[in-house]
Amino acid sequence: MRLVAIFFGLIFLLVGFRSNQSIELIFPSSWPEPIYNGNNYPLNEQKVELGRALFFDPQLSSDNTISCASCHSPYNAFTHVDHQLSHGINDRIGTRNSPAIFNLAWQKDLMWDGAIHHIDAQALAPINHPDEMGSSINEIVQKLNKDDRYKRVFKSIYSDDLITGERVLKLLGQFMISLVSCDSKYDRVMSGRDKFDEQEKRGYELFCKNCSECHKEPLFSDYSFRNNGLESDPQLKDIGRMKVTQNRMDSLKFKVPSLRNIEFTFPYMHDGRYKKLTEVIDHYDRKIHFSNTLDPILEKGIHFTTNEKVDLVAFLLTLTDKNFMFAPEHGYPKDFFDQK
Amino acid sequence: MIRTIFILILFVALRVSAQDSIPVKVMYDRLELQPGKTILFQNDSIRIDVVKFYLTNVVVGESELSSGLLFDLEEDQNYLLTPVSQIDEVQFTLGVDSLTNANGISGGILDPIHGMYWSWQSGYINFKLEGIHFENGIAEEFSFHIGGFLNGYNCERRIQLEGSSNVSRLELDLNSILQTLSTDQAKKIMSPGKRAMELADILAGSFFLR
Repeated sequence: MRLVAIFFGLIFLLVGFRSNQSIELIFPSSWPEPIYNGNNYPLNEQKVELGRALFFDPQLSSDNTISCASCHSPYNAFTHVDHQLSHGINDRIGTRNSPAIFNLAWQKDLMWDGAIHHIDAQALAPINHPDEMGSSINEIVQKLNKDDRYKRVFKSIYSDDLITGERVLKLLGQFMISLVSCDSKYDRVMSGRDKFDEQEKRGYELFCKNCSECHKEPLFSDYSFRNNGLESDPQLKDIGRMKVTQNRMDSLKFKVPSLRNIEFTFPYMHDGRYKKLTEVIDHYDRKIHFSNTLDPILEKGIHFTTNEKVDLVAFLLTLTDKNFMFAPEHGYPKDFFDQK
Repeated sequence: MIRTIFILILFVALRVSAQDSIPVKVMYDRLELQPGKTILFQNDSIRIDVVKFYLTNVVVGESELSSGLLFDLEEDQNYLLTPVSQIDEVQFTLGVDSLTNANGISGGILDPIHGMYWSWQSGYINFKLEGIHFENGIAEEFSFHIGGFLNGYNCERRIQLEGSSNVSRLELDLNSILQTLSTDQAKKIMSPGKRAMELADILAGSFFLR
């Protein structure tokens, strides 16, 4: 009897291992260790795949029109480009510019104000927001439990085909954590596989001297919260990080965004007020608005000559990672949705 | 022989269902609260629509229970399953502990489908109380969503209660928290902070073994 049990146990393990491949994040050895790593957040190939299907599925919105990918398109480094503020069901407009989604494994606090402390809780925010997906995890779970495509894959991953809120949220987390962008020209230069041209080189020097304290290499952000001198929009009245901590010293502070893929993540800033990179550089050069919580680094502004601005932009364009944006495994999972 | 075993199983089963659970009740003025029913409050009235809260990491006597409870006033059955029939001491956390919160999302009673997870920010809602206060002909809605575990505003509360030998249930008495409606304090608390901490303290002193 015991031998039979061991035999079936072994078969189960073998089958289990074959269909449930664990995967590792791939990134340059010079990068810091991610917060979400193999030990505390094991990634599984099948779960990442299923998470991708959920990410692209408009069933996650109340009227089945908006998916996560609607505002976080892979071809724009997982953000949107046509609106300053996020754009939801019934053409409603949110209050913040949708952030680009990549290298989240290195981010402790998520969202512009750091309101979300864990990747698995992240998706609840847009799902519930009335101006974004206007749904609830409860409604989504009810819809998906009637969808045979999901039932089949859930059954093959878990021992049953039950679709729960916990599983849906963790699957979305698996996909989002798997998104690593580390193959730009900058990365190739750093690993000795490419060279900056003269202009890019000058731009890199300017960057190191003026920008890298907040936009720290290699992730191009220290992911801290800072007031970067944007005058508060009187209509949006967004107090930023203070809403989360209720500390006046955090008023108007927002998370420093990564500059990776910045060529494709316009418009810029938490409210998408600038469409062009040159406008952003102009902001730091001569538009810093003084307020109590302004970051001390910016008190005098950061000044560049016209030529320096051109050089800086040339460098910033080397942070574009097209291999990340156009990777087939990040795109619309046609095979999944074509199933009956 | 078979009959003896059958009777024995029946006896054990009855024992389990009859004695190994503590009903959890919500009270106001020593009467059990019914959802959607209006109760007299001072010279006016209150209608309670939602009472939902977590009791977790429950220890009865020496033994820690394998599962907690998501109390919901709308459910007929709200009870803690216990391995012992005599309850003279019980300890539990009102809410979800910060370690569980820090780890993200959990399943079972902690699945966010139960509507006890904040969406605009992280963390479980430990306690929900919603209703309408009718005062001088004016109806004012109130909602207390008590939770939060970060930035110095950790709303989980560990509660230890001792009872006499004939304890039959665990009660939450709403008198104290409802008294706050007659003050000038905010009637809608839906985020972590100082006021949520104060209300969590009031709730921590509102449980009784009776």
